[in-house]
Amino acid sequence: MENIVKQKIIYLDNAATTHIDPEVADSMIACFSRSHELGNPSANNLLGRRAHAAIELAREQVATLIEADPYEIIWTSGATESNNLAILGAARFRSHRGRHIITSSTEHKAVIEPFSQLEKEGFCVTKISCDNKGVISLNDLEEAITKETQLVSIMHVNNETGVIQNIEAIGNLCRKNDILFHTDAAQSVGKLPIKLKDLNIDLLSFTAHKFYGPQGIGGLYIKKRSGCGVLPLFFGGEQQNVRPGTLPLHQIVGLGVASKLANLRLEDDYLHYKLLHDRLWNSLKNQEGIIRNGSEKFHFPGILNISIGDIDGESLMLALEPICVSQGSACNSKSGESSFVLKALGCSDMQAHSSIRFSFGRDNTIEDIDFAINHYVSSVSKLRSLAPEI
Amino acid sequence: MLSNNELIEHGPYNELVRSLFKNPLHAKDIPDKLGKPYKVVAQESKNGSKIVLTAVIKEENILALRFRAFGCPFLIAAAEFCCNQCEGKHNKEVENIDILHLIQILEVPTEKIGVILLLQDALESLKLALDNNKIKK
Repeated sequence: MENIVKQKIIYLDNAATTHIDPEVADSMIACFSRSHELGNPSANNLLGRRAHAAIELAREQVATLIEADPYEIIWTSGATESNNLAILGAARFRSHRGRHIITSSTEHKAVIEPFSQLEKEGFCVTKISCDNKGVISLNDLEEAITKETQLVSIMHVNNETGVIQNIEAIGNLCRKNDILFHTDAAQSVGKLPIKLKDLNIDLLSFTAHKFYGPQGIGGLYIKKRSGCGVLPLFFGGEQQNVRPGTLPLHQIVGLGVASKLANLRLEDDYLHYKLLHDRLWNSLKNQEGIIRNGSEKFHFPGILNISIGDIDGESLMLALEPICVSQGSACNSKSGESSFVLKALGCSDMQAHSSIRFSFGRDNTIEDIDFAINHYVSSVSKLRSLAPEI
Repeated sequence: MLSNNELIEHGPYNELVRSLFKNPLHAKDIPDKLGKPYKVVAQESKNGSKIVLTAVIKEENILALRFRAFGCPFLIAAAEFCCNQCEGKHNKEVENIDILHLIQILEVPTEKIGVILLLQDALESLKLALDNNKIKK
């Protein structure tokens, strides 16, 4: 135990969660230290109005980041809740329009499972496949659309591979066919520019802890236009009767500050991720047996997913300590099952099982990456030396 | 049993597993000069886990017992443990390996017991090979 504690930990699992920015943490702590000055944001008294003002400032900050109108933001507990609210809420709201809904085979479980739930409720679900690079074809989507189709949900940046889907084109196709379009943008909000005013996106899920904000707070963007809406999953008033509950002031303030910082640093952060990604990939790509999982062209450089077919992923994870990386998504990595996302790309069980996801953050340095490269190469070499001949 | 703090710091791998995994001294081939080895293989097709045991026996003593493994840390640690226990001993020692005890001391989680059973298959095959050889003699 002492050995682990004393070693410097290199955190390369920022797609699972990022470390909270000190300025964000300070803004949240200030909420607690000022708690005697802040009431329930729903209360119509002086302290309630002060809390309400702090929340409205955060709403402005989030709306500025994604170029939305502030009143189009609903606070939730994170992207999982946002996805559930968007998919279940919109499909039920529009059930008179049709009962056919479309998603893809590489979505996060927080999208896949609400679709399964709707299937049990009698909706017809089409899951479109991606190519072997993880990219969804617009033609496949167009072919899947029927007169009954009322909702499409396709994620923006894949959490395991970093593959970017063309949400602009998908949004245009959906609008042309009077279909609501939801996107899970948990991995892209705060990391890629998103201009919702210019996009035909009706519903967009995001969460604070993927871009240096606190865990437990996120939001759902709901476009204000005719025919776009969601039925609530819970009841009890507040937030336009869409999502009830007392608003968690300190978390919302933290999300607001994280959004403000992300907006200021969007370009610098992107260039930093690209620098780290390119250094790692350029050093590893010529290693024997390395396979890159997912498109290199349509790709967010904050994530790099690689497999090395003749190495067991779990043993590699242990050998890589004190580097923190993931096998598959954080949400699946304890199950011991191979990634269904990688299998959807056509990866074998072995290739999926040997995959490692590196994901980069603001705090990572070139030295971290160089350490990771050396440690990865030596760990692979050691594990190969233990393995029988195939 | 791993304590909560140990589980946080070590994940599912206790000190013994970590130590055996880090320094698997028996994960190598047997030098030719020791003689022709017995070789047994056990493998699982789905995730590709594979264990190869090689042994050189001289006058009913295990002169060398080595392994090669592809699989999770528990498989590597368990193989190293068994080779270390048997090498240099009478070949009856292979029969003395108590798989349940091994599962216990390595604190193998339920979902990983399959990989230990893979090692058990390899050990059974090795015992059989040694017995057959005795009969031939």
